[in-house]
Amino acid sequence: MTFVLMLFSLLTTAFAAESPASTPSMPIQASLAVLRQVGPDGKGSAEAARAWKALVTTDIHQLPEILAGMDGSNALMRNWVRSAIDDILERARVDKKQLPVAALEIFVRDTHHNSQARRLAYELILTVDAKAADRFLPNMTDDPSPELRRDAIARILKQADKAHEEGQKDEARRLYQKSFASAREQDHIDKAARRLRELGQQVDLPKHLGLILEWKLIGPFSNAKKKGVETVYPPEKQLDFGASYDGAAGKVTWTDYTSKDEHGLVDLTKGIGAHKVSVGYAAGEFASAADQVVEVRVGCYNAFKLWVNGELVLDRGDEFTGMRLDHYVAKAHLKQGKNTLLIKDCRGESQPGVPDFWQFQLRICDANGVAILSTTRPASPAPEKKS
Amino acid sequence: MKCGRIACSAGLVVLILGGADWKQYRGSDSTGVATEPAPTRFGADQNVAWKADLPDRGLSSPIVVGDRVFLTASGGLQHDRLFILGFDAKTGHRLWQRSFWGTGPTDAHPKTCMAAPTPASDGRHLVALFATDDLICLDLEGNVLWMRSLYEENPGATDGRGLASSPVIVGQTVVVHLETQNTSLALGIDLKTGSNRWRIDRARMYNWTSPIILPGKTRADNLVLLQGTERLSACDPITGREVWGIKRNSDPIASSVLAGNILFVPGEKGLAAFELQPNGAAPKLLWENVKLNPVTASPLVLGDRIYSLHNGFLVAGDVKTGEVRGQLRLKGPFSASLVAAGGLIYCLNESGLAQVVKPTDKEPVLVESNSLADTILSTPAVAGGALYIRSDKRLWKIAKPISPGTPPDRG
Repeated sequence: MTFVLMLFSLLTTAFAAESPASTPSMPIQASLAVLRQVGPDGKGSAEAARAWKALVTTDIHQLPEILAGMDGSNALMRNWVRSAIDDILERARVDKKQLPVAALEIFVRDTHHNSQARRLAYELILTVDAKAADRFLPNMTDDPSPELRRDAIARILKQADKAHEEGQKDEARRLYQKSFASAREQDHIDKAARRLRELGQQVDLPKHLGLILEWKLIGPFSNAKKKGVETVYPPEKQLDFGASYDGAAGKVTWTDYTSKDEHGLVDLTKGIGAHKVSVGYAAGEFASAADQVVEVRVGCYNAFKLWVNGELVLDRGDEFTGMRLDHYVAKAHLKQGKNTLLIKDCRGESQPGVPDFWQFQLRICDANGVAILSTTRPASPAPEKKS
Repeated sequence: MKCGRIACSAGLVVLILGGADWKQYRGSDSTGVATEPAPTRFGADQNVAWKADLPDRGLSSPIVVGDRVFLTASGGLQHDRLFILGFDAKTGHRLWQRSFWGTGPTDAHPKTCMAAPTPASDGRHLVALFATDDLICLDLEGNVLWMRSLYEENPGATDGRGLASSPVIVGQTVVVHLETQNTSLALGIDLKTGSNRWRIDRARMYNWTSPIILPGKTRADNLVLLQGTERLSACDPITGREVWGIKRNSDPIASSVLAGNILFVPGEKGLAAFELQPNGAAPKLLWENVKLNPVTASPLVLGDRIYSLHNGFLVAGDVKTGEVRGQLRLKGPFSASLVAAGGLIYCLNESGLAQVVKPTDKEPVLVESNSLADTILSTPAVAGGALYIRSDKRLWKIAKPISPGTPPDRG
């Protein structure tokens, strides 16, 4: 009997909790305003859950208004809205309602809107009109949305390849130059650079990317049992390029190193020596034209730390996880004039079957990936031919 | 909406009557064992109740709550598109899909992806964690309840090879273990509100194991085990206080399993068996055997045997002594952990070959090999006499097929 009463109680609770009267009703803008209040540590969640339930009852023709609600929002809020849009779309499919394509197109073309929202709107348009890409992409090579820009550049590269294959060299060169100028991702940049060189044009890739090629290196210091990662060796205390210190294999002094790699790879085995399980430091200078906040983007095969003007801006313990351009990004404040960069590159114990590199690359750019160059940057050296 | 209310209530009835659930990684009790038998013969066209297409990749396991199956997936050019999906367990119809954008980095080994951790449920809430450090809670109807960007709150809490530790729900607390070479921590989060109950720092070491519950005399005495790469900790899920801890180099991939009061922990020196002690005392080491140490898949206990996948062999060990009692060469490699149904062990290799093994007193015996001809990196769920297997882009229910005439879903 107790069991039956319990079951009855639970069932009636279930019905009561989901009666139509309890489904929240809220205007779109009110729901969005509540969702904008979400924050860390679950802040605003209870209210947001109610606003979400109201938002999902919105008709699909109001989608552009909901997408616009993501403007100026934080990432959490955008996810609340994104997931609500799924429910709106599902209801519309069941009810056989159509996407408001014309209004979505206007939304996509307005670059003031949030990039993720614009990309979502674009993808929704493509589900009903696959040729919409031809209308949008030609004007999106410098679009603030990274995904839209990437698609636009991929399209131009494809056109350039076609012109190249057909022997239309001038047209191909023009299109590859357009791609090279606007591309922000390594695969597109590299491809455009390669094709331009094939067509006889000189390309300074390190300068285009803002890679730092000139360094002073010192090491090795011990990294036995990874203890070197947290050991504060002398270069971390003071940058004295005339000093010598006790290293892991005798006295060590600073040595000049210029990367001749197209992607600014600094190979410490070449600069310091093929020392295993060691710490090496690389110091660089950057003369900034003005006080400014920049992005320092690093690729490093080893655990590393990066200081800018003595401030630790990146600290990663990952080892043997591969290396790529722009893998780690940190904002840093540069003062007008001379700034110092210091990288501590910590080579760990080698692992079977895994390459054992000791290297990094670093570039300085703005938030869009456009290079910011030192005012004292020397000419890039001739690239080293890879074997 | 009316159908939703009835469905929800029906789901409650199923739960109360003890319908088979598989509510988190390796089952509701993290043992990987279901008592009800499942089909032993199956393949692309045999004993497939249904198969459903998925929007993108995932290594996470399905979970089963009542008459629903839940799953995560991820993809996109930048690997930052995250999905949580709900399916009808009887028909395979997709009931709902919720999409999110990753708020943290998407670094990972190419073999894995952002949908690597398995979701968890308490029967009313569904909690999904992604390797972007996005933690999202919904109800079983797909309504969002709360979400957290653990990366924005704990910058650096990622690993270049990706993350895979699955959350576990202990009472009203979600425990998340984010042990990495960078920012490294564990969290206890209020299931209802999504706010932190506690946060503790962990050693900066890579780790992909999942917490398990150590049941106490009452639910209030339950502890949660954090299998750190350098420290094994049993913590109070409400406060995060370490009740006992031992310095130990545990395996960073294969997770522990508890059988009775014996805890089996994969480790650097071998699989170890610990006897849990009362009153918060550290467990007592009973034995350690390198031949029983799993490589990737978490081990499983059936009866008085512990089973591990070790270098291409399914090895059976005595739970009391750790002696190897038998072994069977299988075709690997394996990413999926072992599961058992009706006394048989299912070993799914990465090529989709499901090898069904019968334990004996001595050597385990291969009884069936079934090919799904698909990449399987995920551990199956076993519930209600069915296997739920997730390949890269498909969710399978292995059971006797359903009869035709089921209504269409809204998705």
